[in-house]
Amino acid sequence: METLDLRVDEFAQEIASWESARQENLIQKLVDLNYRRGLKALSEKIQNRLITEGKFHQSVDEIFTELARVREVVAADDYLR
Amino acid sequence: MTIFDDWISFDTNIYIFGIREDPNFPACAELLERIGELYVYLPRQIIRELQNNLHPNEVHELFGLFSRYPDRIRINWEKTTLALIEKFQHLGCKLGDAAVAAHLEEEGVETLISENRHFLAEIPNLPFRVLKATAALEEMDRFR
Repeated sequence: METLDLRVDEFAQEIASWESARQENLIQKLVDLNYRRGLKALSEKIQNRLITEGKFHQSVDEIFTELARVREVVAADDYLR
Repeated sequence: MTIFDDWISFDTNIYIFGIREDPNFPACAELLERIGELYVYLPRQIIRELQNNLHPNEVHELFGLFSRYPDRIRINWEKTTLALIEKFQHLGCKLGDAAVAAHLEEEGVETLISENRHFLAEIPNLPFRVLKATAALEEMDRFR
């Protein structure tokens, strides 16, 4: 663990010596990677939930119909009350 | 100006097909993956639709992911103006579509990405264009 911490310190020292544009580029890449990993994990979680609920194989038309229904319900709740 | 410079919006179907990784709409998943390259405006109507289509913990996680791009994703919880909604209803929109259109006009959003081929298709002189996800990706690749 100590060796790993040491390596992280060394790596951080090296990055700190980079010009700021290069540092920002690396930080952005980390943000993007973590976002994509998180999105993938969330997608899998939602797909598993849909499988459990028997909705994973809903047809495109069924999904559009449900989305249209929800759209009207939400708008009515906000603007017709 | 390109798709990278202006605020745009995703219709709810882009989020839903994207997060489900629906094989019929692979471009939605790719757009969602690349959301950090764009400036995406999320109005109340779309947020509430996502809340109704996803479980609370899923919405919480999704918005937690979006918060990684604080300068790129703008969330607006305010209702839009009734006068604008009525304007789009008079043009032939249903209430829900009118609410989405009103949000976009109010914020000056000029591009909506949607897979719904019927959405606003017959409404004349819309103040924004409607692109499918594949067309949006093509535009992104063209200007990248």
